[in-house]
Amino acid sequence: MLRTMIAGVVGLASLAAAGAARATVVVPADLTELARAAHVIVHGRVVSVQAQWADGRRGVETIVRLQASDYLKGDFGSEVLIRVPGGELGRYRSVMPGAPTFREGDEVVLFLGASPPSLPYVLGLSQGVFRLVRNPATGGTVVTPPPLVASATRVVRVQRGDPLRRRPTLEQFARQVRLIVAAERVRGTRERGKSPEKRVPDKGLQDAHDAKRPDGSPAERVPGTQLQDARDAKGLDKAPVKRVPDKRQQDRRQDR
Amino acid sequence: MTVFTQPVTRLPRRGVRWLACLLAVAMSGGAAPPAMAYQTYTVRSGTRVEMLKWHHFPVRYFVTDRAAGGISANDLQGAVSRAFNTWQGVSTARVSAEFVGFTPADPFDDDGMSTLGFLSRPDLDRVLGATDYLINTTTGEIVESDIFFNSAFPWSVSGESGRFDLESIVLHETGHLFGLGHSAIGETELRAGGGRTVIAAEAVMFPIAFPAGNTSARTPRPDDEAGLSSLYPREGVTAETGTISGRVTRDGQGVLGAHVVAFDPETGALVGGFTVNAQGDFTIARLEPGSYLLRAEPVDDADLDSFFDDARGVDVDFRVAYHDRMVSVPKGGGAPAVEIKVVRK
Repeated sequence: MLRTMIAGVVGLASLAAAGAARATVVVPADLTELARAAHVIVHGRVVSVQAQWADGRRGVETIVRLQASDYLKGDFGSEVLIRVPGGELGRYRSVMPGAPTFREGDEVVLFLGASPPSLPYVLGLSQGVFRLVRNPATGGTVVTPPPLVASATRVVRVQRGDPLRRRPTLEQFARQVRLIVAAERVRGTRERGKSPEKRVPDKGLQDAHDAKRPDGSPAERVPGTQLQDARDAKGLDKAPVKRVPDKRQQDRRQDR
Repeated sequence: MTVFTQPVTRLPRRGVRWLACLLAVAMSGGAAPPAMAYQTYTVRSGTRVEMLKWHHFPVRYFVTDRAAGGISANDLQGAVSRAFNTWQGVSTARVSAEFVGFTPADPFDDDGMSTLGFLSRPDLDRVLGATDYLINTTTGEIVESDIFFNSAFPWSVSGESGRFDLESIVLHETGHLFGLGHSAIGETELRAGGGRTVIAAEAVMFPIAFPAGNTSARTPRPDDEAGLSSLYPREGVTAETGTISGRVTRDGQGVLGAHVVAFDPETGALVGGFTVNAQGDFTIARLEPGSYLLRAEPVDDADLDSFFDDARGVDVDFRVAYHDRMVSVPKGGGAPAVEIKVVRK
């Protein structure tokens, strides 16, 4: 057994703090795909990081406890436990290249998947991690990396250093994500509406539209196109964070 | 401190496009396509920094005895064997691996056996394959490395349309097994209506997979070969090459995590390195003697966790910039230190 093999090794030091490379082949996702796939999108702060044996001491995983500040999609409650591969236990360090690493105090927006009864996980290994960092130029907080968002109508080549792609503020980022989520709800509703068996005329559309008006003001006409929805949703940044109790997700969480 | 080492990358036929792009950008001063060389791991033990690598060869490995994803155990073993042979064929490096046998064990079990095989891991969505290390962080020695391939995806060993090419992914992951990190010599685009895809890559170690059916990542590029020879050099390689070092600064302050690319217009060589501290210091090693154009760029198009163990201090808020003159690299030595000045976006 490996543990026996390295038991005599001098105590482990941690991996170098800055810049160790990662190592995984992924199918890439843009922000829209991440938002669509996520069961929950949560903004919060890491309050604890605890490595533990997984699968009957066959490997190491890390449990990250996140204090949720708000949700951009779904709801897992005020505290979320997340499972990430790898970790350090005593003298053993298991590295899953490509897996995100967290530290207490990290402020993040996480796009999470769920596969009950397991704990939620970060989508796309580390693609679903957006970190809030201080912008020395302004003193404010920005989201990094700057998200990549596909155009609805044209192919866009991704260029490094593009001055137009800047790190957004949390508010800008949240607005963008909510826009995608709302549009996705509309799209899903339309697709369901095409099915004669499940046709619920305009209900989902209206829900999506109403969701943009958490102040309870009367809803205007239901937008006729996704593009219109997107335009309408631009006012979301001014609205308070929408907490949507999600019974199914909550049940999953309790199952843990 | 983690050290990144990025030796010479020569571009063969496919590199012409990159060369042309880089030259065009250099002339115009506009934004450039991404270009990055490989990285290697290091571990810190007290004040010492050790490179993460195998200390003993051949690396002995097992292959799982189960079929999955449309691939039989024998086909899997064949793809793995070809990938190891490909790495062993890199003339500037010395590595070797030995197939021990099939096993019912799973990859990612910390059992002392380096095991490669398919697994079902719903939590690793969008991950085609991944490598896991157990390491002796005192010496940097890799003592076990497992590789998993995601059975949720359709696979092929013959380049079948609509299926991911197993040999390409095995080659990437076995590169990791030997200790290579990611390269970013690749370019992506966002599809109309959603989604992102690779449109070009000049490194097997580029972390984003080509679309299904593409087999072009079965052969190491010069960047990959340089990375491997950095870890496991053939005798005499070091004396045949040179180094560029310097700083990337913005408003007089160092920039952490900037990517610096050295480009030799005469040979088509592309070499990359990162600034590795708050002072913005970088070193690009294993350069063929010659004159190089230097460019600094932010890694603002990637999930930073894929490249940096601690991404919190990595700066991506600057524009592409070029050093104002060509840098001459001598054989077996270093060029005078340079400074590349960048500005905010």
